[in-house]
Amino acid sequence: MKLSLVLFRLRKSPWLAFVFPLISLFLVYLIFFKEDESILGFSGSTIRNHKWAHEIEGTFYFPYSSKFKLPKYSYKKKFNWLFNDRVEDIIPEGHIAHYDLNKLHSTSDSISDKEHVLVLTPMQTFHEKYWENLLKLSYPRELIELGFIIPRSDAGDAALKKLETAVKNVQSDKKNNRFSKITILRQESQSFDKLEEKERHSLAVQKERRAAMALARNELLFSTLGPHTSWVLWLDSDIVETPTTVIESMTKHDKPVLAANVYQRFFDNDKQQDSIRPYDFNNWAESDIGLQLASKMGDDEIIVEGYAEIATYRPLMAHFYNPSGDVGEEMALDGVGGGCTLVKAEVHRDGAMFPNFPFYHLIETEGFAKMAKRLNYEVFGLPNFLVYHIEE
Amino acid sequence: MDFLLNNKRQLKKKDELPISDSRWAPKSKYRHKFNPANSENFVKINAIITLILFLVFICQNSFSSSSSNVVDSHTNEAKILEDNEYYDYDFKNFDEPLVKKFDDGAKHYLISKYGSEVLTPEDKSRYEQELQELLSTTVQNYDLSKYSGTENGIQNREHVLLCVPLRDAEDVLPLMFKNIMNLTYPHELIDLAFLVSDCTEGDHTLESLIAYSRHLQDGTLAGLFQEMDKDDSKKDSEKLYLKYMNKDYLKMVEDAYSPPFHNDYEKPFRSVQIFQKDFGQEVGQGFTERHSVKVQGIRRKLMGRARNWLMTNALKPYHAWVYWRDADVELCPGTVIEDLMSKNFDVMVPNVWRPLPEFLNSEQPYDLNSWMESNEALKLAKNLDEDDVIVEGYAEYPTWRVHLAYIREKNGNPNQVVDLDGVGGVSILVKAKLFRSGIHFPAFTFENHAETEAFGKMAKKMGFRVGGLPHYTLWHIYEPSDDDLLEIASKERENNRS
Repeated sequence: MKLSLVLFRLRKSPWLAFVFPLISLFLVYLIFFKEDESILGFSGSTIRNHKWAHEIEGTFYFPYSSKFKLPKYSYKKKFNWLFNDRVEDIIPEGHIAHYDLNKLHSTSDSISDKEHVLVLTPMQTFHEKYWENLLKLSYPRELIELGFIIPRSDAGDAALKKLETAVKNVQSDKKNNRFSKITILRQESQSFDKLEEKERHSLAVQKERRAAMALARNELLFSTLGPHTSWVLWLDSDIVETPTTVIESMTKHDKPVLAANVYQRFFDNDKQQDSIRPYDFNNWAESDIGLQLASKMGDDEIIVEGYAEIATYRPLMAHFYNPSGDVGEEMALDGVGGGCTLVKAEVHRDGAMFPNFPFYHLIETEGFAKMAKRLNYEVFGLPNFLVYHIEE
Repeated sequence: MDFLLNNKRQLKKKDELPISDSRWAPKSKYRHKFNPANSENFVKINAIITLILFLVFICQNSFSSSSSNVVDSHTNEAKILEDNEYYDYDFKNFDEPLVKKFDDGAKHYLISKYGSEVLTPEDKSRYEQELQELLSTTVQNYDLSKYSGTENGIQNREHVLLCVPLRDAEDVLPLMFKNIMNLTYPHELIDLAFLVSDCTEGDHTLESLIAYSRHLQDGTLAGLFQEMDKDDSKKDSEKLYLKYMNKDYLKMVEDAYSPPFHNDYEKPFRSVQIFQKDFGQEVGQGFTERHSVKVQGIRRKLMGRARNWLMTNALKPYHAWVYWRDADVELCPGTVIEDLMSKNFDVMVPNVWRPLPEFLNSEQPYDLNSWMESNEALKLAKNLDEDDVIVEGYAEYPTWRVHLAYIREKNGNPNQVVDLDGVGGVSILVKAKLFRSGIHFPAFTFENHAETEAFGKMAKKMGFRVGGLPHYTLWHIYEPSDDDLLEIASKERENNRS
């Protein structure tokens, strides 16, 4: 009895008489005219919400889709679908992902363009000061990805432990302080074992050592480079001091390959004061004498800088440092070192890698610069932009 | 005048009785015209219409295929994929609500959940577990020596990356997908990667690729192709040259593409990655255009560039093998990946031939890029410019090399292996560690070669083993060249006359 009374009152009330037509009109609009699929506000970046060309501009029509809408297989969904929006970004629906690489740019305005930088470090020993320097960088951390490769040796095990602790601390920090992604790799190829500075730098072992380094760099590069990367910064694990704005300062020059000048701080015993001296002699411009030397060498021999036995007379960027000069001054180079070198991702994607065999009588990073030049990219250096190597 | 009007009004008023609002009072007939509140039927009808529309709206949203957040009852009809490999490495599901709790930092979570920084042992282990879960979302650890690649890939559950560079390939996409589905190597171990580049105006390679991929991952692609083939059966009559092809070959093709297929034919793959990148390539894709010698050097370098872009973006640390495949292969055994893998070479290619019309001998070696180096070729290279690219099969470059294609015997042992120096790109199986060592498809002239041949040379230079199977043949599709078409046209005219 009471129910029918309530219904009667409802029917009589003037509000409902107007409300129902309005609601039905609204529903008609939603059903037939609303194009936007994201009703509840989830707009995934996966292909499930892909707009076919015919829906946008009426050009391509795939005539069979409608018959085969119900899938035969599906992937497991572990957790409640309501909270899956972040998972959706990382694991796309149906495991299909579409990347438009035409939209990936490396420009001089890297921060405002939100360009991802991949910082790669072949790590043989973990230096605290290196890590602190990395944490001080001002480039937005959500745009930085880190990659490390560690050799299979005892020294490598020690470095790995320290690195993992440091990574754990930063990645369990507040969400804004975390790096976008960190990849830690264990090298497959054999590493070079003699690590003390004096032995490391003797001429005879250079070829072997640098070939091993080249393999490590390649393994690191091709395992971590992904479709979101715009820039790759090669930063050696023994570079302990860089300007905090190093990434944005270097990307500002918008050069395919750009090397900073690596110096070393030391205590000058003669003058009894702190001083600096050049460290990396792999940044150089080619000279005629260098080319002559190369033409006389056997196919399997390489030229390395900084040794009296091979006098190439190449202008070394290390010697072009001018303390009162403009920090942004550029210098055209033919060979680069790996201390602090910024490379546009497209140079690597085109195939430029670190040859571990004599390539035009060059190897590793210098061979890489030559390869980049063969691919018609320009190589530059910043003689007045200093970064510091650890003191040994 | 006023007097009269007023009178009329007064008269009217006098005539009418005082109006009561009682239900039982007689109303003027015009009152029923439209009073919604009083019309019960009207409201009832409206309520029912609204209810129906509401139900339609709900149905549409829960069953629409574009909604990724589908009600569970829908997926009951679909088979859930159980294999672990679908959900390992970067496809591991993570507990999002838990991860969200760490947004303010681990210390904050520790204190807010456990009360203090000093924990009991069980609490500590639970906290460590949760911390691990958080870290696994942004930190990845790989030991590259685990992904070396052995001859028994299926048993060792080795991941394979299948790369296909595409350009203006809309028509061959069904053929390509049928061949991909036909692979017997476990689909949960294969990652597909496509690169679509430099398509002409009006070509829909990208859109149809995306459409086919969605159906592929749903398991409905085979059914869809059956429908398409029924529709297209009339198109075959347009391909005139089929009349002149070898009947045995055509029978082989027909048998190959008719069901039944292997058990996991429709099973989805581990992942599909579609990349889009235009390089500004000007050379056309028609047969005559792309095969003239002058453009070969430029074309090969650009193709090398495309392959490198695809590889650098798609290669992950856990891939053990990479299988490069061209889209236009017509006949290929489904076991090709296991067969090439079993020889345990670092780079392995099969032989590639193509069918021809009977008046041209029925068949012909197609891929001349797989060869063994010869002294004449090395001497020839010494006299060439730094940027000159030697291309096989053209009179301009007499290299006198032994080509894999020419040493094929029809009934030879398909397991026989020969060592090679250069390889062709139709179907290459490579151990992923080669790419990780830096070997790629040079987009510049490397030892007077580019793309796949330079790749083979680089691999040999770095000490890897490059081999080919001379009696294991893949058949490329036949695209009639302009000369062939003229020949066929003249034959048609002869037949019509007689």
